[in-house]
Amino acid sequence: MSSLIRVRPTKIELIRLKRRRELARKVYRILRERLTILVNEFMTRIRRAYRIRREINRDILDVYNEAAYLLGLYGSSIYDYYDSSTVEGSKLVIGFENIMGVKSYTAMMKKGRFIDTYPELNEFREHSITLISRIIELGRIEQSIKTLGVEINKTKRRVNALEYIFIPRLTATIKYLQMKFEEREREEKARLKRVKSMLEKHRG
Amino acid sequence: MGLRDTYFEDLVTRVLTRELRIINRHLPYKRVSLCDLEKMDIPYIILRDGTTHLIDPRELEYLSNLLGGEKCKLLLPIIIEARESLGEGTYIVRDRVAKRVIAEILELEYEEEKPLIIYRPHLYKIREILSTTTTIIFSPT
Repeated sequence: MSSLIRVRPTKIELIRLKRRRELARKVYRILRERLTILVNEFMTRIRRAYRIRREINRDILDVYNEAAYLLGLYGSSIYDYYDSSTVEGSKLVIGFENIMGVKSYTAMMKKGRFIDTYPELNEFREHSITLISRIIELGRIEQSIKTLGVEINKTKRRVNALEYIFIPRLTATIKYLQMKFEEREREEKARLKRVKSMLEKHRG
Repeated sequence: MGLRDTYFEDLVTRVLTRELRIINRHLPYKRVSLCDLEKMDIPYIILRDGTTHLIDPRELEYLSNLLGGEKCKLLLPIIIEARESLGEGTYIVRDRVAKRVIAEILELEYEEEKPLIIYRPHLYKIREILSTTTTIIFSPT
């Protein structure tokens, strides 16, 4: 789609349009580069989210079985013991991550401090913390996938608008103005020729 | 040419100029060394737009193991430059220590004096490993 921009047919306007086209091309190239990188980030994160989700689905059953085993072995008091052997609980830190200008929520887990207890309980604690940190990572990645998706859409619209509307319209207008100036020049030449021949006839 | 058209054209030019201006908003206000980041309880850097960017401690650990004694010389995030004049899909790393990191990850050879040139598949690999400790700068020249 390209229609002409309504401009005054002057040389200064032609220069202005050429400058604007150069700027538009520059922005287009940069945005296209950014779009390519963003799409790749998006795809990488999708693959990573899929992998982590599979790992979580695999590990969650193991942790559940371990918890059931501990409950069967030591009774419900094991959870009180679990609590009392925790010196400092694990913390979740929530903040922002900036992926090429795309602001996305991120979270990371800071592991707490614990006293060593029964080997089974230590193992269970280790596995459950790993599982929780994986779930947090999955949440972080899925959040970034959402924000990246929105940004990719926006950037794509801009790139397409520049590629299919703005730059062709500017090019068409520049071409129109150039043709108009050439036409004017030809008219001028023809006029001069006619004046010259009239003057010669007049002298003769 | 109507007043409305002029206004629209100026607006488009302004939007394009703004786009160029804000494209590098995600760059850090000040780069921080790897040692300083490791000392922080929650490693973060402040960006030009005023927001904070959390850094994954696992990446810091990875870089620390990779660099050994030279780790305090590495400034983070590692800046990868996308320069228009080099053509599409070509990127530059200028920082000396960062060059070493990138070259070791990608198993490339590099010269100390010259900037390291990498290509798009390399960039994807780097971003996969160091997603919070690298950033890309878009240079329109």
